[in-house]
Amino acid sequence: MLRPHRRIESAAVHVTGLAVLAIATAAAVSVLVELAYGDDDWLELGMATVLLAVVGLGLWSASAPTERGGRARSAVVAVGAAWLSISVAAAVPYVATGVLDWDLALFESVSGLTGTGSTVLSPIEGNTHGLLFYRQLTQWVGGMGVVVLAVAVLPFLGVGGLELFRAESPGPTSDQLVPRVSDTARRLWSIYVGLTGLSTVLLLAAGMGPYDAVGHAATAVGTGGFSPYNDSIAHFDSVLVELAVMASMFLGAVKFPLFYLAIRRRDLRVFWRSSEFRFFLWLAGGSTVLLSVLNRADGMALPTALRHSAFNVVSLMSSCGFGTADFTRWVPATQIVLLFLMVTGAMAGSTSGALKLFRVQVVGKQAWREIRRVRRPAGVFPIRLGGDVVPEDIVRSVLGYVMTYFLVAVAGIVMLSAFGADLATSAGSVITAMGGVGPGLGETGPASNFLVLDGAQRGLLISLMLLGRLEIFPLVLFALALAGGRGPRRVSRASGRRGPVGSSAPTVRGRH
Amino acid sequence: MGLIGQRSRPADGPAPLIDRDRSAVARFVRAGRWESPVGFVVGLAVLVGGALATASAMIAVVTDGRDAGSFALAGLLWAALGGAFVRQCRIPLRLRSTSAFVGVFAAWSAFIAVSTATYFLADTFAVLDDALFESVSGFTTTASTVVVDPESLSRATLFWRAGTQWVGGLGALLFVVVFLPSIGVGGLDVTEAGQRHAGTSLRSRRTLLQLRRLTTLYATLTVAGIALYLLGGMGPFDAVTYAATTISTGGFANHAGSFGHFESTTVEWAGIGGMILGGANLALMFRATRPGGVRTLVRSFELRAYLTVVFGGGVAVVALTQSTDELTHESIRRSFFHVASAASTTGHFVDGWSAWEVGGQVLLLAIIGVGAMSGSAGGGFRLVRALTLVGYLRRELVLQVHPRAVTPVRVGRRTVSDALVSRMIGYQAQYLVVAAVGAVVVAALGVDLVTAISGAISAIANMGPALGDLVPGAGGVLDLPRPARAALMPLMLLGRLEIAPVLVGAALAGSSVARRVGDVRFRVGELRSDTRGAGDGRR
Repeated sequence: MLRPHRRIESAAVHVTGLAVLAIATAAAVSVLVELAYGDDDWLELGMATVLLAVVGLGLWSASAPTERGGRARSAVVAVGAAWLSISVAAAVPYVATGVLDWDLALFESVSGLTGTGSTVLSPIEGNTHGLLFYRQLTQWVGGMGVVVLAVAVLPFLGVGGLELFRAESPGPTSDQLVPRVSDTARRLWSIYVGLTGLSTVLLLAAGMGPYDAVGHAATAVGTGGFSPYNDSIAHFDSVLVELAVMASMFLGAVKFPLFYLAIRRRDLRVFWRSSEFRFFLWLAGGSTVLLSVLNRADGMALPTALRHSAFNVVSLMSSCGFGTADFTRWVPATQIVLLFLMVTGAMAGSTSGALKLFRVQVVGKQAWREIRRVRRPAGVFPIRLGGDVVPEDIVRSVLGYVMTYFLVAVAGIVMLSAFGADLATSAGSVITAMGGVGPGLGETGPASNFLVLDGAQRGLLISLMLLGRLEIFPLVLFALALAGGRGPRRVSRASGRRGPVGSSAPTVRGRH
Repeated sequence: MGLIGQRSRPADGPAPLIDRDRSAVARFVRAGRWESPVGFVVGLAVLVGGALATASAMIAVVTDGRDAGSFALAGLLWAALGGAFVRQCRIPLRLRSTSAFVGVFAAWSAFIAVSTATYFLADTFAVLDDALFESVSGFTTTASTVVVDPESLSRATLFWRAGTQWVGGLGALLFVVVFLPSIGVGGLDVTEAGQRHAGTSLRSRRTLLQLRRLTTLYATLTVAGIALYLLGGMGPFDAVTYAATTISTGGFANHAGSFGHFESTTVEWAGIGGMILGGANLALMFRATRPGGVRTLVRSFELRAYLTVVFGGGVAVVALTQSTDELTHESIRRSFFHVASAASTTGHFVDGWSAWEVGGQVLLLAIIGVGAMSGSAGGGFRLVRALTLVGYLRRELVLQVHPRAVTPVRVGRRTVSDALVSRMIGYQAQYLVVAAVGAVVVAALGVDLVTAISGAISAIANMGPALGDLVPGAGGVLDLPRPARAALMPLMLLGRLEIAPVLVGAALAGSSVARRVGDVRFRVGELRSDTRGAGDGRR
């Protein structure tokens, strides 16, 4: 590969540069929108675009991916660096236009990139079209992932590509559609673009204007949930629009490789054959029925109950977070069900966040397996999904992730309430931030926004959003890599002490 | 696999043919003493209930004399019934895990039934479901009570109430230390070398030795608790009952204000000490009594973690709830009291935590959820499991960097096998599912969000008090609608018996009853076909 040796050999810097360029592109599009609507802030947005483009190009051209990029750790560092950088980069337009201060801008930018959709803009309406569109675009870019984008356009990342891809893409297994990682990434992005187009058509057909249709398609398929209206989808007050948005969110919550297989084989049964997909339908359907019953019992008319229950179930499961009703006013039982759905999320390999249903299935089967083992202690009970045995090492890593997620959530809830939020608010906010959903419970419900929290609380939520989007381990390892440069080491079996004598200071304290 | 009885096969060969006839009718005709572990433990439970009722009657005679007759009657009744069962049944040499589960489930049900009937005889509650709730809460060592004013109850009833918790605590202790490891469920046998093999005989010398030692130690601790409370300045009756509910981590109190009633520094300190003892690992303490045992204590990772939770949690609560200028001896002591109560899942309180900042309350809820040490009568997820899971997460992190590394999960210096870890994770998943479903059900029955979630967690952890409407000092469960209260009962039972045994026990008991019914119908059919000369049917 041709490479002048002035360049820094670092995949991290290279990928970061490209990611910043992606944000610059989104900002450039927003300048066009601003101009098209004749709003005032085009100059500020334009300057932000130029700044981002210069920084991005600078980083990109000054660096080159390492030839042997295959180390898991360097991939993790690259993904961590890219995400932290674009979190700052994406905040630039908010600051440049003077809409938000730095700390709020950072919250809005992370909330956008991680596809969360929690907002500190108040009121949302009244901002310029360009900025609101930019806000939605960040969710679209973050939905599929900037690093996957980098892998798609940088075929020469080589072996490191797979590690990068794994580190960013959501879900316990990253299915490779085709042998080459970059081809896989490109196909995923094509499906993503295609679904967004389809969703735009649906929304247009349901009666939205072109600006709304494109923006909402981007945030629905990207399962982000930003809307340019204070009332979110309730603004349109149309069943047709709600149905179209539900369909779009649903599309974004289905495992993308299934679309690829369905197109490739020209066979729609691909979906039904996936046990995760069936579980998705059952869970969504069952929750809708349960919520409708609870809401009906609370005195809501049946059609209204059905409409709002179905929309909110799909919206929260897909971790999109669009709203049509303030569910914090519903009976408490419905809120616990919704909280549960915010934890489960939708299918792995989609743009949705949270745990993903595949993991929920594995955990559920593990719980059931232990109950069965009570009667037959020496029995061997493989965990099956849709007839296939899930390998034990996948089971192991799934369980490990779920527990880590749980632990981080509990720690987050305790910390957030230590900063002064009540239990419902802190539980709702933490779960919604980690799952990338958007609205929380209590004071941060759909009718409210995150300005009710103070700076420290929002700072905690920013880190939880990033942790949830990148599935915890990459960021933890990134932090460890920054702190000690080495990451955790194996405990040597014989002595129980860490690492070889004379190595640099241990990065994980492990005195048991 | 019988609910009533079962013939075990001799160890040296297949059973004679006649022994295969397992119908209750046939066995009854053959008479003799039944080999029925279930009948035996049920009888034992009823017998213990009889002893407790008799003791309550004696207390009544010594003190205020109220309810002496009803408790004496209950004592006679349960002693006769339980004695009959125990005489007629025996535990077979080789116990099948199925009958063991049914046995545990049946024993707890029998306890609860006996207690409900006793409350009914003593006319303590106006309604039967209140008596049932108080019994469930008592035997699961949860501190939720439906008694409005305990001070108006007779001494005998108060003694019985505390006694149910003491017996429940002992039962839980034996269940966790002796029974669970022998079945191989839940993975609690990490730190203690319990019996690892499923199907180990509960009639073996070793088991009996373990049972005796634990019971002795439990009783000794209770006596120590009584001494502690007497020294602290309680009266003899209060000292005995409070010690019983403290060492068992139960939390029923003779006064509506629990420890706040005494308004005494020394009593509060004694309470802190007693609760810490109650939540500590008894098997570990037993080892400490042997020569060189102090080292075992010092080296126990779980014990260190437990003390860290109590003291670290106390410091954190003080930091979260009090500003420096309002720090007093009293506020610090009470913070530690409530943290000790939460860490041991006891449920005693002084002035409660309703006035605390939210952060302290949520931290307390987290401590309740984690719960006490393994090998104690306390409840919750249990510390050793939490520690193992942390070790597991550490390994996960290592595997992220070194995907092919071979590294064991460790708790302290001990290596934990993957099979055990897998059991614990399974248990954690069950625990979370039960908590989530419980919270939804309780909320659906008309309880607010915070109360429902915290109440469900607290019920599973066998604590009792929680946040929201359930903060101590408020109305407690009495403020909840009756159906919501009823929904808490299965949660307490599931938490106490570690979920899977309850589910399996209930399912087996149900299917056993169903089969028995089917069996009888089959017999009848057989008789009919015999008269028609059509052969002997399926078998």
